[in-house]
Amino acid sequence: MDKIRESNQSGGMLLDERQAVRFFDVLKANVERSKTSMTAIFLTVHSQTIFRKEDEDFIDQGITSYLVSKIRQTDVVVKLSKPYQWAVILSQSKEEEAKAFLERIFNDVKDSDDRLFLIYDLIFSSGVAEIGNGDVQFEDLLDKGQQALANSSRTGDWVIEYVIDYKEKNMEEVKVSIIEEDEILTNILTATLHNISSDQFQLLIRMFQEGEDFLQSDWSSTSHTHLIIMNDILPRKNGLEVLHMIRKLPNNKRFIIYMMTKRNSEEDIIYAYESGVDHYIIKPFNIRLLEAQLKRTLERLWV
Amino acid sequence: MGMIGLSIEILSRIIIVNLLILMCLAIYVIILHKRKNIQIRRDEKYLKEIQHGWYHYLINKGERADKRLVPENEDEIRVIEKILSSYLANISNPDIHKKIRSFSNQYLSHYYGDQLKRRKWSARMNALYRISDFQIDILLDDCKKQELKKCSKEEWLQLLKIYSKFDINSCIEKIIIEPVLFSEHEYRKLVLNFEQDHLERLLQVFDEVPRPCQFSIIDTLGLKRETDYVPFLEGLLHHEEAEIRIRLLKAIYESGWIINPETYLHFVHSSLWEERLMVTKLLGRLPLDETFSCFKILLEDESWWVRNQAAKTVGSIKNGKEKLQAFIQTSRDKFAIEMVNEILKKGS
Amino acid sequence: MSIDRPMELLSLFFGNVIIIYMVVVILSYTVMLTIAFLHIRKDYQLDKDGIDEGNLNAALMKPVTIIVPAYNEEAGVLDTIHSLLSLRFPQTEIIIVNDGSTDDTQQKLISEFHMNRVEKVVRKEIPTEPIRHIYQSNVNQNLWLIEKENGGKADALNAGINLARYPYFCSIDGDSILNEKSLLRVMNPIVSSNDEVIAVGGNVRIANGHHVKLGSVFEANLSKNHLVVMQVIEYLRAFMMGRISLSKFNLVLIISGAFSVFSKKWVVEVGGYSKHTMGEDMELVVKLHRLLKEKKLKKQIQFVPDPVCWTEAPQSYAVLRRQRRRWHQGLVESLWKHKKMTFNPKYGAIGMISFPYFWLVECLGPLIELGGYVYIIIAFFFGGMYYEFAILLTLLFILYGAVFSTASVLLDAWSKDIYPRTSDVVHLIFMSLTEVFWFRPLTLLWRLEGFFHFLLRRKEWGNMQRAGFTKKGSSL
Repeated sequence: MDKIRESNQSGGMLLDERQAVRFFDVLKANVERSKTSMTAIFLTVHSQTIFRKEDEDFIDQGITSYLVSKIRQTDVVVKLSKPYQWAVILSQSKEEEAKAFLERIFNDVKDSDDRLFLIYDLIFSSGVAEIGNGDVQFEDLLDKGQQALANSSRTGDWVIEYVIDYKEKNMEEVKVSIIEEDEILTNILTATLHNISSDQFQLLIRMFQEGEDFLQSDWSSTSHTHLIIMNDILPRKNGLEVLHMIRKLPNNKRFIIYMMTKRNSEEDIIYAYESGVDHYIIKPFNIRLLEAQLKRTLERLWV
Repeated sequence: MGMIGLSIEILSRIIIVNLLILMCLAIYVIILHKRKNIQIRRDEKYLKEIQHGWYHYLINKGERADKRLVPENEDEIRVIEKILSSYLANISNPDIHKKIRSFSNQYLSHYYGDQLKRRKWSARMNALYRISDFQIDILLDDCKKQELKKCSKEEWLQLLKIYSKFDINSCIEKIIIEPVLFSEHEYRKLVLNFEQDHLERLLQVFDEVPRPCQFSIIDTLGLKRETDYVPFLEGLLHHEEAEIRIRLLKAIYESGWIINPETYLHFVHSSLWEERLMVTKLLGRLPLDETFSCFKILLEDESWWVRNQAAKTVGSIKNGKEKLQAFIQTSRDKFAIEMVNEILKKGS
Repeated sequence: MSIDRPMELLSLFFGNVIIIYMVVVILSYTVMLTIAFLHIRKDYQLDKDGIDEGNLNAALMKPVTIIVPAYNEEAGVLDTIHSLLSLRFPQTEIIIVNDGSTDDTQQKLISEFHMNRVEKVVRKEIPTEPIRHIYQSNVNQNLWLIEKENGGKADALNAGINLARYPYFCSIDGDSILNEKSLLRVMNPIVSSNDEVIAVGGNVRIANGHHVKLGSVFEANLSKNHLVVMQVIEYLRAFMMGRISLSKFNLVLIISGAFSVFSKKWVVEVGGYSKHTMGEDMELVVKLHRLLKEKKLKKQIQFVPDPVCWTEAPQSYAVLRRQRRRWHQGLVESLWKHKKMTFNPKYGAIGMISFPYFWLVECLGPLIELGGYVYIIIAFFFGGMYYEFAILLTLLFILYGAVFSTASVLLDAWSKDIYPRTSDVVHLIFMSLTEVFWFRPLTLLWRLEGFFHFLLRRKEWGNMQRAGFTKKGSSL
């Protein structure tokens, strides 16, 4: 018991249910921004022996301290308002990490010579919910978690029940603009972009025939990551002019620019790179290689 | 007076006839115009319908051409030409080109074969363009038959282009016997698209082909930027024709490779400023320590172009600026110093 | 007959001169129209994209410097430059020459294209007024601006030639717009002839009524202004009835300054554009022809109908009048300056055919034709045999004016589809029938005015250019 208390200092944070609601929102926002999941673990204990009223405080406190001692500093233990129930929130972790954490704890508890576990012969049940998006409300999560706990204890001892409702990531929207006069090529490119599928991003594709159309549209002003595939020669503001305008925007880092050209001139290519083109493609190009290149560019955004 | 009366009568008739003809023509042109507008709309519609099918066939692994892709009339062929041309111009995948080739041979060759037989020059020309673009080799014999007819220069060039793709022997044979006089530009159009082994075949008969063709071969070799051809070019440097020598120097410069530097040094003293200019550019590709003695001569050259080029070349090499500074101190040539100063000023 | 004999003879003589003139002109126009028709029919429905694709290859095309002289062109110059930046062409540089503009031309260019002042040494192959500064664009390294002291259009072009890096240059008026493939097509005769062609003029068309934005024509509509419509017809006529066939035989004396390409080497050799004439573009072509003939060279100067340059035509009578007066004065000046080429076998067909033709039809034509109009009016009053004479002349005029104009319009509408709306085509055909009744006499009058200006001011060439150049090139 004393040993548990001591280790309290080095562990993570402890919150009650009311405080947790606020804190959960912060974590949630972080999930959305960094595109990395967190996981909520729900825990409860039961035993063959019947708990008496005075045992309740002792067990709650004891296990709370124990859990706090086991988590990282970036993680949180929440003592739920119902007796014998806890939630542990592991930031930047997925189901696998949660499972590993639980297995560690289960083994630890089984082997433990601590009075707490020895006296009561405690058995854990647990539910794990991976959270991949920011849409989930704490109350809903709690409901689901408690349901999972109920299921888990019904199924058996030391069982982990998974909640998959919140796992799905919200897909990042990436804007893609194709600025090219040749309608047929534009359609080839669009169809190719549709081939690039990923669970990480969703492409919003728009086509423009002229540089000025693109610049005038409010399409380019949002903070989305924006992939541009354009020809160097365009009617009404050609590629280099569009490029110059984009690179002067405050959010210009969000733009990834592919420029296509017919002129295979070293001088022109160097100048285009110097002006801020990310990739220069000489027509005719290999469409499959372009596809692979585009895919890689997009995936790298989330590494 | 009678004569005037007669003239008036004749003239009025002429005018009336003329106006009538013009009126008919006007109606014809207006109908044509209207039809064209309708046609444009129809073509757009057909293009929208069919392009996904083409994408699927050419880029996704569609093995066989869908029945719907096969054109049923001339309008549809026109749209398909547009689609295929765009693919060929923008996409380089060999498998796609192969599919276009097999489709065209199977479904379009009949149409172009008919077009070749037409009396209208532009129709024949268009067909020849397509045969070479879409690689319709089935029509090679039909093309050869064209030779026997009264064939325009443009048609001849297109024919040679087609031969260069499907029958290189006839192509080279024809270049040597010169059925019509082509300009260098025309030969260049032809030679530039030669495949590597075809080009080597052509090099073997270099002495037999017409002069403009020789020029275009030399230029093409320079554009390839490959070291393989430099020995061939260097071997010709003693050619008696000045224009050939100048072209060679230029091509070697463009290719970026120099194999035997000593072959070039005597051009520093050439009597032709063009040769001196080209060798100035060329020397820039060699280490400055070895070449600066030559550059000293070239910086004081009598030609503005040579002096300018020499100063520019040296200035652009590493350590070149220092060498130029040193040169100004020692040279007595007023023009040379002026030029060097100008180049030095520009760089800073 | 109440008129005495000598008077009668005189008027008969005039009538006959006019009639003979008309017959000659009508015959030569018929020949030229036929040639133009055959030429156009050959290319009819030819897919030019094949040639274009080939020429887009830098190895097959020559690099071109585009020179845009600009004097107070703040209204149109940005469009022009945008259109030039969007040309499909392997290698170009654009040099704008600000010829001491007094308006905002310079500032507009600098801010639109992010121009920076640079140090650059210019080789003065042709003497010009001093250059103040040279600017280079940050957006496109091949876009330059020369700021120089006012010296007129010819001087501005010469300054551009001095700075030009490439072997060919293209002159474009500061208020004109090129189609994306125009430069490619105007260069085709030069490259495919292997430099045998040293200058090429393109087709100039009128853009009034078109929807133009940032250098792209994206809707071709016919203007509602009658004066503009008449000019559209007139331009068409000039091309169909003149340039195409003259070009076939290397007889072209005028290629429009609004859009033409020249080999720099030859232009430098004749000393560049002449500063002291009204029509520097015609003068240059005549000088080139003269040099070629004197050197006994087989080089050619051509006109190609296909590449199009869009330009803004005058919309008011006053401006149009000034333009025509100036064109005509320039024409007569050049003819007069090189008068010794006329009927001089040393100058070959240029001397034997072009010059006499230009003297008779282009220079004296207005005088004779106007005489014809006057004759008709007078003759109607006298009645009798004059009456018949007048009818004869009127018929000739109709044949000459209406029939040929309409034929030109039809030929153009048949071979190209410039106007998407059929109603525009109908409008053009209808208007072309009316030309002879109002527009033609007006322009004749203005040209005659130019002729008189030439006679009066001939000796004060020197101080004529100071004002800089106004709107347009010196000819169609």
